[in-house]
Amino acid sequence: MSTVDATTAIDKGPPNDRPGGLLLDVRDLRITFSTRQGDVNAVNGVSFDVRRGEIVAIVGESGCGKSATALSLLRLIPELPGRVTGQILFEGDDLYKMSTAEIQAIRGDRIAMIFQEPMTSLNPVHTIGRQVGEPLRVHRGASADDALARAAELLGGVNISEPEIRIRNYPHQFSGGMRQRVTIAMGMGCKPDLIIADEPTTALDVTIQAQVLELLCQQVDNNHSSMLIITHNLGVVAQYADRVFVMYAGRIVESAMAHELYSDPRHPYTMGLLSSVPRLDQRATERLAEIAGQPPDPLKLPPGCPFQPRCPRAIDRCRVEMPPLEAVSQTHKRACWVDAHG
Amino acid sequence: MADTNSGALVEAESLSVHFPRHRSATRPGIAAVDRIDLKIHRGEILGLVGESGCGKSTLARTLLGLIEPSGGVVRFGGDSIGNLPERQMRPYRRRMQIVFQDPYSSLNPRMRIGETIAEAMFIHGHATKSDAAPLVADLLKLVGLDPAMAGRFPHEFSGGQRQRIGIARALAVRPEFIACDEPVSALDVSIQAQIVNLLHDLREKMGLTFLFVSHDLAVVRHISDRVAIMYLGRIVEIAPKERVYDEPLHPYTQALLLAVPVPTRTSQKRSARKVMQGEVPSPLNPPSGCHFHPRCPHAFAPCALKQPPLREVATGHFVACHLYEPQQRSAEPDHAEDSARREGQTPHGGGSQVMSTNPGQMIERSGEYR
Repeated sequence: MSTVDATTAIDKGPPNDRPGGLLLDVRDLRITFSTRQGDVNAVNGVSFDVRRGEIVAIVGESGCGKSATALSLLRLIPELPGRVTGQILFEGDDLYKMSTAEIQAIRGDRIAMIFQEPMTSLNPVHTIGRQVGEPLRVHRGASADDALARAAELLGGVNISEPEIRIRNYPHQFSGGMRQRVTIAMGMGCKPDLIIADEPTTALDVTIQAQVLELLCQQVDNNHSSMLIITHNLGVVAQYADRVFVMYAGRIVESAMAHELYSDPRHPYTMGLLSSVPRLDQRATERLAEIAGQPPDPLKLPPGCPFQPRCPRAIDRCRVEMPPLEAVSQTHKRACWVDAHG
Repeated sequence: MADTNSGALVEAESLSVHFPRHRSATRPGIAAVDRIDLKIHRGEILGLVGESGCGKSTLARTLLGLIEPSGGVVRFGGDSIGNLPERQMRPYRRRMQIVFQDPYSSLNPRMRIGETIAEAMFIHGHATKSDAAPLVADLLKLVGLDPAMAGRFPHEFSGGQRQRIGIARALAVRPEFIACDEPVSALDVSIQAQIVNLLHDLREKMGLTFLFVSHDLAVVRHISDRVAIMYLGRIVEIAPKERVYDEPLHPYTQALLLAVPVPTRTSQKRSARKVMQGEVPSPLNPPSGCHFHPRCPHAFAPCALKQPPLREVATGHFVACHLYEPQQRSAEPDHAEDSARREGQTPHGGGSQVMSTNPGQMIERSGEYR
């Protein structure tokens, strides 16, 4: 299937430790949650990869499985009620075959995570300095004083003024945008190879969103890190991602280079999304294009393609058989039975 | 304003809302709404845009009589309603309604949605228990729901459907004016368009007047006739929508428009963006003069000293900015930077001497990412 294509292509590419080398390779990821109503298949066989120096986006609406995917990468899905299968290869090593100590050595050091809610991802009873310095104490064996001094530098690096004073403050003394910059500083402390950012700016105001995203990308580039950004915002993707995976109902329905996705979307869902978003760069028309209906209930996924009940182009085959993710060009894949150009 | 009283359904005159700090009433409070003049004309959709904490929701609720103004006047259909006792307020309440942001918390989870929609009809005497059912069914049809769903509870509906129920409830008393407070912010992208279209259709069908409060400039552009931009309790710019989006005058409006990422991409490389620095200051202690001056790339001497009045600089286009005060006319800011990004925008000439007084506020990252 598609994963095979991806790996053969990569074998010919540069070695893993250089820009463009394969950093993260996710193969046939499935995540199931047991609930009282039955098993919910949040993620149904998702494969993607992140290369060195790249910013990759996963886009989708709520419930499409994008956040579960992000959490599963660092083994943050609780074993009960969650169940994760598939392979998550980080520099070729399967994160799910590692011991607890091994995965803990990777978390916060080689792979850092930035969450949506800066209010809940900082500990309210510890100072900012202590929290930003923590990864350095844990992973680099820094002394408390050294970690604090380095924390001040890191805060300065994310444009927090008077960092020597601010390291003694507590999270409630910071605004939402500042807290998110603090979590970025915290994530960058060990210069991780991969940053996973799950809706990093959704909780912030527009002007602050722009600041935080710029800062995040700047830091990723300065550290020669890679980033996997999870978002519902197509504008954010257009501006910052190199490659994009579009998710719907637990599956990847389209993947492409960012510029390809916007100039030539091939899946009806992507097309629908792009035309239903009101845009600042276009004159307002009287009515917006709508995608009819609602995303499916993950407990009762429709037969065949999960998008078919809402799809304006659906044919009979869509209602019985799930389309595979097939290449339309070297960098562009989509899962759809209908020829999008037809 | 140039127009007469007759066109305005809702009107604010020097309207202020102060919230006390702590419990002591001795110190001056936070001016959530600060001497705002505003008219909403019959049949129009006025968009109200601003970042969190700017006072846009407070303004909307004060116009509806849900918050008592600390100063100034609110008029509805020409009658002053600012501090009316509840009994006298009731007939006005029927004529104005609100749709809330969060469709999950604004419906009573223990009432069937038909009961929720009918309740307001009973209160205002539009229906009795016996004849409510067909009216409820009509309303559900109007907002695109199956009338057979009237017996269900809110948890059985998705977010978009709940927002339709919230709209049906607002329509139940046949209001003239509806304030929508971030009605699509909590919804998924593919559902937002459905609700925006529904509001559009309702305006066409029923000739309603809307105040559409949102932080999303693109949605507001889509739905509004006029747009007002708020910053720290004051309206800094208000104009017909095409003027706001094609020819924004206030530096804050310009910065807001630049901050919105546009879902389009032509080149393979990511490009750097100009980003406004600084954060919205605390309304507890707003900056002197023009509240925006510490973040403004064009700020000059008078900005820190004097609050600029909202002044009409072109027909129907009002802006509160010292750059457009008559004596400063020669010093219009240079718009070239945003016109590069947006189609259909004419770059202004105008001196850039003002801009050069404080160039440090906009940082531009050097070149391309890689």
